[in-house]
Amino acid sequence: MKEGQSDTINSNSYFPYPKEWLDAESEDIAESVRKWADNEVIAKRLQFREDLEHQMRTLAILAVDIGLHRLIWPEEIGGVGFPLPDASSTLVRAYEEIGRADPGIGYISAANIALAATLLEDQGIGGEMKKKMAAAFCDSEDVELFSLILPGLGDINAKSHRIVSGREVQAELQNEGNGWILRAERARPFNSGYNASMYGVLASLPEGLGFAVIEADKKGVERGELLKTTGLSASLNSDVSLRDVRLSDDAVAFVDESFYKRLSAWMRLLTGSIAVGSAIDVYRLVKDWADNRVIKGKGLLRDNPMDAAVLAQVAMDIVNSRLLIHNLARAMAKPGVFGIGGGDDIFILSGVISVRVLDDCMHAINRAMEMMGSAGYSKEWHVEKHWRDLKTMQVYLGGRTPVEMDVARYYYGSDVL
Amino acid sequence: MIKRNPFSKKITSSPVEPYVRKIVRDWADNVVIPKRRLYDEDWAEHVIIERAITSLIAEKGFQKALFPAEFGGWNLGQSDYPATFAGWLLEEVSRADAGICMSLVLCFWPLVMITVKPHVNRRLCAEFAPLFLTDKESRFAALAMTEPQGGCDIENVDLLHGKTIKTTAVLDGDEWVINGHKLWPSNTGGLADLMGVVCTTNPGSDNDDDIAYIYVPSHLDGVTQGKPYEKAGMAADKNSDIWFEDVRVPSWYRAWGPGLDALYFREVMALGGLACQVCTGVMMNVYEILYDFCSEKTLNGRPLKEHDAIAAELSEIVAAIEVCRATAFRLAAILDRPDRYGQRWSPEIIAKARANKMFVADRCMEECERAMNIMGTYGADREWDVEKHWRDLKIVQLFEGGKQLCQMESARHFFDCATL
Ligand SMILES: Cc1cc2nc3c(=O)[nH]c(=O)nc-3n(C[C@H](O)[C@H](O)[C@H](O)COP(=O)(O)OP(=O)(O)OC[C@H]3O[C@@H](n4cnc5c(N)ncnc54)[C@H](O)[C@@H]3O)c2cc1C
Repeated sequence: MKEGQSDTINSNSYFPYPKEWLDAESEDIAESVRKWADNEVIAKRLQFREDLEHQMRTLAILAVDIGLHRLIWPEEIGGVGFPLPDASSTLVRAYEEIGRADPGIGYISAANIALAATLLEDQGIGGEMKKKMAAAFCDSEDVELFSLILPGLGDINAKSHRIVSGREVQAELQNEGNGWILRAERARPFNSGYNASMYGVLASLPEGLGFAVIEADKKGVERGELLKTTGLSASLNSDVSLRDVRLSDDAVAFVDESFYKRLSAWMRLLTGSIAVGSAIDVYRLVKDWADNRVIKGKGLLRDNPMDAAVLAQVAMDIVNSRLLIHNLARAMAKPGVFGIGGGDDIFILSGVISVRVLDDCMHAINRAMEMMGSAGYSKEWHVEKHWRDLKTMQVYLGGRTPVEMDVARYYYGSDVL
Repeated sequence: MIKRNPFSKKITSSPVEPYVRKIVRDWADNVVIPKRRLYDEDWAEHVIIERAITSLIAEKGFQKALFPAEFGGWNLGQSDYPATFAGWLLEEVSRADAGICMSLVLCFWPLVMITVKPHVNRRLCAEFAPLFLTDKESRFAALAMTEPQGGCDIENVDLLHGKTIKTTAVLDGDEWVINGHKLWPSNTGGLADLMGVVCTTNPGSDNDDDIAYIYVPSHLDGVTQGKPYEKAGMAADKNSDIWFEDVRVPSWYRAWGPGLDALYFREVMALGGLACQVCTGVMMNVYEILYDFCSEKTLNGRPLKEHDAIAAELSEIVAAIEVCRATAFRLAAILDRPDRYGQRWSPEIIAKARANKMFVADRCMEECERAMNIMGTYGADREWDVEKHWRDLKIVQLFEGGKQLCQMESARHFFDCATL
């Protein structure tokens, strides 16, 4: 098998995307990430498989050495200064490349960048918190891993918190004296709950919402057991309880629902890009397979019309998904070009596109596995890892129904969903 | 906890069904379900897994089920309900673990050639039954069919008639000498005690007469089982390469001889349609898990099952389970009664088996994905077991023909296609 060697043809170039939305500097960044993907991850897959240390080492190269985690922070607070929201297309290209290599690494990195983008764009969040966050992202030699605790499913036995866009907030903040108390019972983080150095928690306030940033070693932070999950092995997750965690004022920002919506949109954009990249890598693998596999004792797999139709679907799914995700990036940068506003409009568009892209990329990988028979199922070929990773990412994004409820609220004015 | 489980009731008219189901369900609930989350790490060592398998196939006696009573078996192969009986078992075992189910299936599958009426090879039954009669140790059989150049072509007997088989059997006096390389048989990686090996007596020939099905005890010189493969799921099913280097077996270890081996091998393929029950068994457990999950977890302040949009999704899942189970047991009834529905090796029955398996595997896979989607972040947790079922199910879609061979064999029969 050929896995482990980097493909001589850049399979990326087979799938069109609107290049005019990316400047030369953006393509340079994408190129650096492409090299990282090929040399640090894809070429070493058979050696390291899902080895966590290797995943963390490669994440550090990406985030710190290549500087991806500094990219969007303003220069004056230590960043590279790629302006938001225009950086959206640049980020899509970068995360496509990461997705090709390892969606798990992409996912934890994406959670961090989505958080950074949201904080930077939120005008209501004070400079102090931004500076503190910038230091975590830009000054450290290591990757400071943020774990996000966001609204999601609730539990019938737990105290019910505020509802944001139909999802249940998992934590609550209470003002006490000159600071805050943060509480949550077995909250389910979006990523890295088990090994993050910091948590970003969206919590309910008596009135409205607050966003709290806390160090993982703070008193009262209790991580549950390491969760074994289908995929995204780079994201070590666990449930997290916050037992009367005391926070100072500068660790809490008052936000509203738009904070959650913006964060969701960024997360959807980046995970969608990872999904596209992952499907592109699967395309490369299944193409390699179909180019060499003989069926019916003579013809090549790819030349059989029944199989060609399946292979075509793999490519079609990728073509569509890639165009969609680049369009979402552009809409986030320039909503006016699409005739929409920011805020809610982008939240809805990102939900619609993300559901479609994840479904289609999942479909592409499912069909590619089908073509590869038992090789698709064996760990050796790596297709199954993309399959597990994407499914995990899809469910971590919350599935389809909550997005359908958002869409119904938006397009039909449906209530109480 | 679920109070009333509609999928635990009997689905056929047999009075025996509840008893068989209960035996297996008790085993599943006590032995497998409490431990199955450990299986993914036990895939190579197979210690916890093997204990569970032994307590089913050896201690409960299933490994001798197919053999005629005169050889100490349960006579299942002589009955009018081998497929239905197997269907109950497969469903109940897969409800707990589809990988263990593969191990069980392989106790039956390679032996079908010699134990099921109308083709009972008494000499070979007498030879091999003693191996399986113990209730202390599990005995593993394997069906060695797939080769490096491809599995489907070997299964595709009606089109290729064994043309691509590379494993050779050469008659030398009163012994067959076997050479070749097989991939993937379940119950290998060191487990197999006895293998049914699909070989050719004339490489490159497309004459059914040259397809040979020969039994090879694994302890013989020249048989090597490789290290187990690491897979996406089915941790309890061990698969590996097998090499045969000048392996010698008595000439009468060939199941039936020219023409008949190919014919009954087709029947083995048709019985692969019982993979439907693997899928429905898995989905029965997904239903049970969802019942609890959707009662406990809430969306927008309401238990998931009381959220109308989620309820609609849940209804799709149970509709699929209902229909797929009906389909699966109808197929089993067809496979049980060749006198009524046609021989199991006929293109018609093979096509029906392929069509049913394809439909049921696709639907169940889709519904298992739906279950994960409903569960959100919890859908990917080992703790809830649905993700495990999802990983296991995927291969049921991919093996036994791969989807495309299923499509082709169905189309070929139902539309009289001449060139597929
Ligand atoms: C968990 C597990 C258990 C298994 N157990 C066993 C076992 O017990 N015994 C055993 O022998 N094997 C076993 N296998 C192997 C399995 O049966 C084969 O993987 C399967 O038959 C497909 O073969 P292949 O992987 O070689 O793919 P190929 O045969 O190379 O097929 C590749 C692709 O070509 C398509 N294709 C094939 N033929 C045609 C056609 N005529 N027209 C159009 N498309 C076609 C297929 O659908 C597939 O997409 C097992 C595999 C797994 C993963």
